[in-house]
Amino acid sequence: MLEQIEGSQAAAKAIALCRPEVICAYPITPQTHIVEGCAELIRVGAIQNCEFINVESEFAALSVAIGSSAAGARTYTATASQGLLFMAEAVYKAAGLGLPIVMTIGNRSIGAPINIWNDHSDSMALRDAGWIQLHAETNQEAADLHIQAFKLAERLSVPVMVCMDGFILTHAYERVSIPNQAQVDAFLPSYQPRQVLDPADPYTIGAMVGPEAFMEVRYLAHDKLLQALSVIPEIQQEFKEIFGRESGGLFHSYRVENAETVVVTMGSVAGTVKDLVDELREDGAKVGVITLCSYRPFPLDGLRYALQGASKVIVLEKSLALGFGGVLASDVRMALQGVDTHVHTVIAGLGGRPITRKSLARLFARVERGEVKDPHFLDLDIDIVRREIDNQRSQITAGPIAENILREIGPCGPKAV
Amino acid sequence: MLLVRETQEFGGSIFQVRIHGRGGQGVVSGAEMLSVAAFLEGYHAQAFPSFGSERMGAPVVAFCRIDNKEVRLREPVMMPDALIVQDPTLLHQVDLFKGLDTCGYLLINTRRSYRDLGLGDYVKRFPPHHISTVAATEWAQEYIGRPLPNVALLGAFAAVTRRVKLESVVAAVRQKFPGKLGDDNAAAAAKAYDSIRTN
Amino acid sequence: MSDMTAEQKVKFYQKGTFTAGNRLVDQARRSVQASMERSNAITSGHRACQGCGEALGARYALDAAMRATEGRLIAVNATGCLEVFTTPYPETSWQVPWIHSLFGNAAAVAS
Repeated sequence: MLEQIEGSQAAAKAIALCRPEVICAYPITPQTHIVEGCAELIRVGAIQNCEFINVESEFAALSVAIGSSAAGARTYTATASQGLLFMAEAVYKAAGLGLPIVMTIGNRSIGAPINIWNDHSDSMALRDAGWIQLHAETNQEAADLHIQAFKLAERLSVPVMVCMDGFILTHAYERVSIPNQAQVDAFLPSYQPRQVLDPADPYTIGAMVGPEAFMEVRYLAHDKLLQALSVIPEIQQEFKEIFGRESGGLFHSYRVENAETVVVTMGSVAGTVKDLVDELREDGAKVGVITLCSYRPFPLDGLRYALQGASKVIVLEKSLALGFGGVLASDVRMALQGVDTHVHTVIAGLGGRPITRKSLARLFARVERGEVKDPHFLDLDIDIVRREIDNQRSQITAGPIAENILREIGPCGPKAV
Repeated sequence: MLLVRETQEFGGSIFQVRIHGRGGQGVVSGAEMLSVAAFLEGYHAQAFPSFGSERMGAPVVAFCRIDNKEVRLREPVMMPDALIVQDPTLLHQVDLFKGLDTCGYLLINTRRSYRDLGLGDYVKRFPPHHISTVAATEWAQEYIGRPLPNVALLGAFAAVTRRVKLESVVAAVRQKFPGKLGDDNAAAAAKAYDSIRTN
Repeated sequence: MSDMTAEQKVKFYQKGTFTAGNRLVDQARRSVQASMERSNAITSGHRACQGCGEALGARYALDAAMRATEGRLIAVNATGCLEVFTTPYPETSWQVPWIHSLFGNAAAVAS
């Protein structure tokens, strides 16, 4: 049924339809509304046979999820930013044990400096832990990806993160088609664990593996994620057959046919880019955008194939590898190795700074004129930055960077309003 | 060669609303209810707040976009077609009018006139039927017993802009507030609507 | 470095009355809140709501800590309301050295 609903609530309803048996979570901005929504649905009986467990920390949340999943229960949790890092050890553990936990990440930046707004640094920090990482472009896709995630996780026995941009998606009201229970039941069979803790049939889970076998175990985990590259599109297709819409998959291409310049991005900013692409196309520019949905596993071959016509690629990402450069951009460059395509790294939106059509339009024009250095930081206040760098060079006790910057900027409000 | 229009022009069917107020005045839920009202008429609508660690009394901004096709844009509303000001004490503290074009709509929650607010000259540039003051806090106090002006302002919005119908606003309000509270809020919206329509 | 650290004394707005800080009782039994020399570790201007219990509670705890340490105090603050409302960039209410780290490690950082 079509509803005008907050993204978090849409996700909660989608999760409820998947008949989870255990939900355990610790609140953190901006995902709290999701688990609160789940708790409310359990309270009113919209989710049956589900135990909601309040835990003392995110580390506890994922630990409870590990225990629950290992005992054969379909398990869900959610976190973001600091919380994800707090459970980092358990994140690797869940992947290593092959437990099909589904976890929402309300993408939020990581401190210091403390910041509650959206960027992708949190899920990026754990991109190599062995979880599948899917990014939603809209709240419709966010709801749908949760449903696909349970099927994907259980089919492969791999945990899945569903990433939704914090605030921008989680706290936005927009129209979402919420499926009905019959559809979800037809799509998602009950959880059949590959291994389960059961006194009637005991297994030992989580043994120590030494040098003689560790490489093989890791290779198999890697192979499993590579298999996901085929399973994700299969599930996308199965989803389409039952629910009647395109959602998920490895990536979405928009007006990429005959495009000379292709933007590659992830998450909600794709919507803004699409509006700009339409405007540019109207002016005769040959530009398109690819929105990655599956970040891990990374579709190297698929992306390489999709980008074959492009002479310029602009990677627009909300992440930054300090001391190195773009994260997504590096992955895209790897996909294009040996191909003579110019890849531009654009770091944007860190800490929730709005990414505007106007700024992007200006940037793309400058890229066309060859005026942009790599990596480019969108809307960076270069004067403030230069003054601070000089300040640091001239004084030993220059003070903490963040505080100095903010003193320069002055009384703050949301930058775009 | 990539030709790019450096000035942003929002043509077409999209209608953008920006609501300014203070924490505790229902700015965010106002934007949400407006989006529900538009949805009930079959539009695509998007509503979101400008997020922050606000508390009661701190300036808050919320946005709503209404279109007859999917709203994909995610940036804050920079060029509002309609501006709603829930708290006139913000007037000389925050740059409320940024991006509001002279063909836009302006609604301010106040019993005073624009001239008394020091905006007499500013509003001259707008078509007179695009601007209105609304005693929303007073209507709210009278009908729901609390000085929460958001719903009354939505009724006024419907009257001034004609972008959504009053009955859609009322339906959205009733969806959010059950029973008598819904009735009272609906009455406040209707009162504000009528006060504009009859002027 | 910072040139804006002139220590701010506490301001009693209710001058001429005895109501602030239990000044109705005799001198010997008054609490430190009655004193003009009260340490003002969290000064005014923070973003909490008026009358916020956390702000009041934090002040009392700090008064005691400042007396116990004779003013040689460093505050370690966990992520939370207090941290957010006392340090809205680029301003701070803290007149003692202060550090914010994470949600659950304040005690460890303080160690």
